[in-house]
Order: sequence, then C-alpha cells, then structure tokens
Amino acid sequence: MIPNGENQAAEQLQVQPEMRLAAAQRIELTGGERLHAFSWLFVLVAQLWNLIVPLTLVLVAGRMSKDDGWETFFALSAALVLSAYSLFYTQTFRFWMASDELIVKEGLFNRTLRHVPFTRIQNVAFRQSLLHRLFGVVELNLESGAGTKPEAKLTVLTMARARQLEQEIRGSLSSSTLPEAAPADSVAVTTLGARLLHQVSLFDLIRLGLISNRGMIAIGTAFYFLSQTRLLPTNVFKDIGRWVKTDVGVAHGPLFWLLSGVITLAMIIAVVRVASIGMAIFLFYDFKLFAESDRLRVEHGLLTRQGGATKASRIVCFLLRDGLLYRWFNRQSAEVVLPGSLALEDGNSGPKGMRYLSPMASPEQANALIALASGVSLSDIQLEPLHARAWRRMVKWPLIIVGVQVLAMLTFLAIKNQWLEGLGFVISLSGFSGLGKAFAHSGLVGMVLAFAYIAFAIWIVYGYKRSAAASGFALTLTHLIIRSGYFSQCSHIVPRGEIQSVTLSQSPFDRRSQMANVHVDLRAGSALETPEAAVHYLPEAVARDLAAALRTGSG
Amino acid sequence: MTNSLEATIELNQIDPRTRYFTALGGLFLALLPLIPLWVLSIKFDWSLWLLPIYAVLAAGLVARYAVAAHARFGYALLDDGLWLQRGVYWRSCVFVPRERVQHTEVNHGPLDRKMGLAKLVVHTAGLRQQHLIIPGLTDAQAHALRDNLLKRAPIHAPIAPVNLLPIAELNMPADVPLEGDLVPQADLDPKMSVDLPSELAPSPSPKLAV
Repeated sequence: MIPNGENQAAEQLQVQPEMRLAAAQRIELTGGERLHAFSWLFVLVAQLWNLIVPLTLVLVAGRMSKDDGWETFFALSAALVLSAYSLFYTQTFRFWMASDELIVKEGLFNRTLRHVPFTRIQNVAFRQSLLHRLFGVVELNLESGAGTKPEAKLTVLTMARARQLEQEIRGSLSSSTLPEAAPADSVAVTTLGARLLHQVSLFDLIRLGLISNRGMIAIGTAFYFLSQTRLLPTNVFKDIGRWVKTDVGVAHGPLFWLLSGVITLAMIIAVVRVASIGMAIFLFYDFKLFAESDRLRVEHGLLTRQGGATKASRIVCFLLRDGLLYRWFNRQSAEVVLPGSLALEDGNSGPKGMRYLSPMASPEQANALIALASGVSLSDIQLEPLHARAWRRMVKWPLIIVGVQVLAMLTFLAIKNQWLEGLGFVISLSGFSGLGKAFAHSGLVGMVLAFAYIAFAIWIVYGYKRSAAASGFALTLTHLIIRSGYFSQCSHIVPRGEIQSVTLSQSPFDRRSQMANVHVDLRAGSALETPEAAVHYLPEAVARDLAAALRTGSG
Repeated sequence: MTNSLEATIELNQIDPRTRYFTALGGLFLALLPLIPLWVLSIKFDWSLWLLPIYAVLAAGLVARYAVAAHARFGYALLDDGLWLQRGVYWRSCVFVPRERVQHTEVNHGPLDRKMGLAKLVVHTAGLRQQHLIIPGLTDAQAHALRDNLLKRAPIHAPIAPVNLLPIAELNMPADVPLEGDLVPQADLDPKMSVDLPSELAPSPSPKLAV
C-alpha cells in the first residue's frame, strides 16, 4: 500500500539512531528558532479554555456564597500558575528545520527532543482565531497518520513563517528520494494546478444550519450554564400558558394543552434552528477548497479561521451525505476521513484539519469533487441491491417493540377498566398532571393510540422500503462504494488499499433468512462521527463473494 | 468446518482446553442470577430446590456453549493474510491482509501458563477491529504463526500501487507458506524460516467479477 509503505519507510528513517545523530550534528542543537514572542498568550488561552467549565463554576459559586471569597482566590491562583507555565513553556520551546526533518525541543520538567521526518507528516492543519488575527499569527499542527497526538504543534508562528515552513515541508515531500508511487486517482488533481475548486455561499450556510443540529449542542451548553447560575428562564413556559389563556382564549381542556405544547415545541425548534444557522456560519463562513498540485486544502470560519491540507491519495474514506432535507434543498455534503483524525478528538483547543470537501454543495458539485479527489464518478455507478426481503428485517423489530409497548398500555388501561382515566394517570405520572386530567376528560384516547400505531407502522414500512431500495454496494477495481439509508443517507467511498480488515458476519436472524453482512475497517476517523462502513442484509452468497473480492483487492 | 461462512478455506482448530476458559467465564455470568434468586426464594418462601435446578441447567447450557465456541473457532494463515472465524450465535469471519498487521503480541495469562498455552494478539491500525486474538496455541505455534505473519515484502523495495491491481497480478515475493502448509503445526520450529523461491507465484485467489 502506498501510504503504508511510506509509513514504513518513515519509521525506518526514524528508528535509525545514526541518522538521528547525524541530524543533530548537522544543525548544532544549541541555537534553534523560537516561537512568536506572544506565544505564551495563546498557550495560556488554550489552557484556560480547557479549564473554562470548572473555573466558571468556581467563580459563580464564589459569587453565590457570600464567604470570604476563597473561590475567587483559588481561580486567580490557578490562572497565575497557568500563565507561569505558558510563559516557561513557550520561552523554552525551540525548533530547527533540517533538510529533511523538523526537530522540536519542548517541555518544562520533562524535556523532549523530537525528530519529525517530513515524510511522516501527512496532514498540516492550521487555526487562526480573532486573537491570532490581531497579532498576525497562526497555530500550526503537523500530523502523522497514527498516534494520539499531532507530531508537532507550533503555537504560534507568524503567518509568513508558517507558510515558509509548510512550503519547506512540502518541498521535501515532493523531492523525496523515498518511493512515492502516485496512484492514478491523484492525476486528476495534479493536472489542475493550484486553483479554487469550491466555495460555499452564505445562503448555503443557512441551508446547512437548517439541516444540521450543531445548534443543539450550543443550546444544551447554554442551558447547562444557565441552570448552574439560576438564571434559567423557566418562566417562559408559564408565559406561553398565560398567553394561550388570555390572548387566544382557550383556558382549559385538551385544546389548551395541545396549543401550549405546539407553541413550546415550535419555539424550541426555532431556537435550535437559529443557533444551528449561527454555528454553521461561525464554523463554515467563506468555506474554500483549493487544489494545489497533488494536494487539497480547505479554509473556513467567521472569526476563527481554520483549515488544513492533505494529499488526495492520503484520504482514507469519502463520505457523501444526503437525506430528506438535503433533497429538499437539492444539496449534499462531501466529507473526507483522514488518517489521524481520530487523534484530534480529545483536545478541542487544536486545529482539526481537513474534514470537508464541501459541507453544502449541489449534488453535481459534490459528485464532481469526489470524482476529482477519488477518481470515482458516483453517477456512473450501478449499485448491487440488498436482499429482496431486507426491508422486512428492518421493519420487524421496531414494529414489534413499539407494538408491545402500545399493547401493554392498552392492556393496562383495560385492566383498570377505566380507559381514559387510566391513560390520564400514565400521563400524570410523567409530570403533566393537568395534561393527564385533560386526556381523562376527552373521549378518544384508546382510538388515538391505536391509530397512532397504525400510522407509525405505515410510515416505518414506507421508510424502510425506500431505505432498502436505496441501499447497496458497488465494487470497482480501486474502490468500495457503500450507500445506506434514505431519509438520512450516507455513501462511503473507500479506496480498497485503505481497508484494514474485512469481516463477514451473520446473526441468528441473518442465518434464518439467509442473509449476511460485510464490514470493512478503516484506518482512521472517529468511532462516534464516522459511520461504520458496512453493508447489511445482503444475500448470503453475494456477501461471501464481496468478502472474497475485498480480500483479494485489499492485500 | 461444515458450517463455515467461507467453505473454501481449510481452518486450523485451537487447543480443546480453551473450552475450560470459555466455560469458566460463562459459568461466572450464568451463576450470578443465583444471588437474587436466593434472596427471592427466602423472601417469598419458594422451594430452595430452585437453586440447584437453575445451577445445573445453567451449567449444562454453558458447557454446550463452550463446546460450540471451540468448534466454531478456527484460523488459517493464508498467503495473503490471516483468516479468523468465530462466534456461536453471532458468527463472523475476519480477514486481515498481511500488510495490515501493525504488530503482534504473544500473551500468557495465568491459566494459559498453567496449561502451557499462549494467545496470539494481532493488532491492526483499524478503528473498530483493532486487534484479533487467537487463544489456545502452544508457545511454539504462537511464535511460528507470528514470525510467519510478519513476513512481508522487503521494506526498501519500491511499493507498487496495490489498490489498482488485483493481488494475483502483483509481483509479491512468496516467501511465506501457502495455505494449508501450517496444518501440522506442532512440528514447526519457531526459529525455522521458510524460504521458498521468490519466483513462486502466490496461489490464485478467488475473484468476484465486477
């Protein structure tokens, strides 16, 4: 494998002690280059950002309790210690650029001297917040494909020096004596030269905000903080009730609860949508994708500009996301998974590198971008279907589980022999005593429940039938393509050379219906965010053939 | 194996004594409900005969499971990688290409040491399937398997873009035994190196028309 081969070569380079010695002698490790003079400020900000939750809580607690203010003292001394650490850390940090490697000396008590061969650096990621821009500096992360930390983290450099550094690293990459087999798919990119491939408009970012749920996290965090400070606007819900009572004139009965519920829900949805649009604009404002020789580079962000660059041949997997809302807007999202992106989950203080080819593009653009970077033209690909009875398997368990719950509820009510009061009781148990009473007075509950179940059944059968029909896989000489889902659809485009292992699996239910599943394991991504590259509910023989074919292609 | 998902591959079985390990772990889980059962029996005045009946039934099921788990577990060292089959109810076959093996470990747990057994742990760089464990090997088998698995194309040789070609067309040095060669494993010397002529092409692998 190409990336693997280079890895091995790079490791080889790293483990040879005489080479390290030679490098050390070549550049006399006494001098060295320092970080930017204001680096300590940025290290401090990053440290404080990591501690923001405990520090805020301590300060808030200090304000609440009218003690002698030891909390404030504690917070201040913590900040002082952190500043001292940041200052020492950045003042003792040194780095050297050798002809083929970067040498970094860092650490306060535990000093390390790290040699990072340029060939080992696979992704370069940068981040520039408003503060960085004020000082004209940038934070640079140099990542290899493995490990849990970036190979080197330079906080911070002037923009000019960072550019120069990156060019030196890249220059070494292109003139390397190491075997550098260029796969056919990168040819498309090389012929283009450096140019702007894609840009996302503000209008598309609003669409992205309407589709994505990023705002949920922001709202949740805000709610959490407000609940800690006793500023939570609980009165809002009471106000809604009052408004329905006085202005709409519905004071009692199910209609009151229905109206209040619908208004509250609409309000929550609206707030989350607005927050999501805000987050989308904050994160992806002025999203640009460039192609430079054989590399792809992105940058985006409103206040904090961030981005990264990678070789097209380094991409472990492409993800094309589609779904109901995407279809309504006639848009798709094209993501990439890079080796080492797993590593960047833990700290949210560092740059995240390249994650999207485009967060929001028209289907034609998204397909073209993926075709450019991977060489796979999705529109020309005919998917192999799932087992003809796949949808029945998908539908079965949701129907049974929900059906049992509905039945249990109806039985419970029947046993109580007081149908409506029974349900009213169930609802009051969940905290809405008024709502419970309201339902107990209305005359339709049992029917509503039964009809709701029928509607659910129709919906789920329709949904899974569409989903099973839309799902499938295709195998080309170079790539495995997996598509799954309909209302929320995700297509994996996996270079076969990146497959780490192939699993053929069968549950007892699969065996009964003569189906099987094929999973492929990838080198990176995040277990939470990257959907598993798996084809479920294949006919057994097809699954076996697919696994065998992947075996021959991924070795 | 008649019930193998992949019938064409001849599998090696592991030491039958691994059944004891499986049974031990299974018994621990299966006998845990004895505690609440005992409490309930006392509280509601149930017959105390329930306890031994449950224990015997559970032990019987666990024993059956352990036997089945051993029978279902199989591995094969192929020319292109490691093939592993496992699972009684939820069955799976995993294939790890030789090039994808990051590193290997030979482990000896306390029970393993007592019985003179070893485990081979094969690590990959994957996200979900990060390591595969082959228990119930003799020490010699584990080491031979490891040495064999780590044999690969020389690192300094130019590396061809493998993902563009089916493996049969690759000029890979076949300095590894072909499938089936490993069956009489007890005879394998851990230090023995298998040097087949490099012109020997790997056996043709099954291909899917695409």
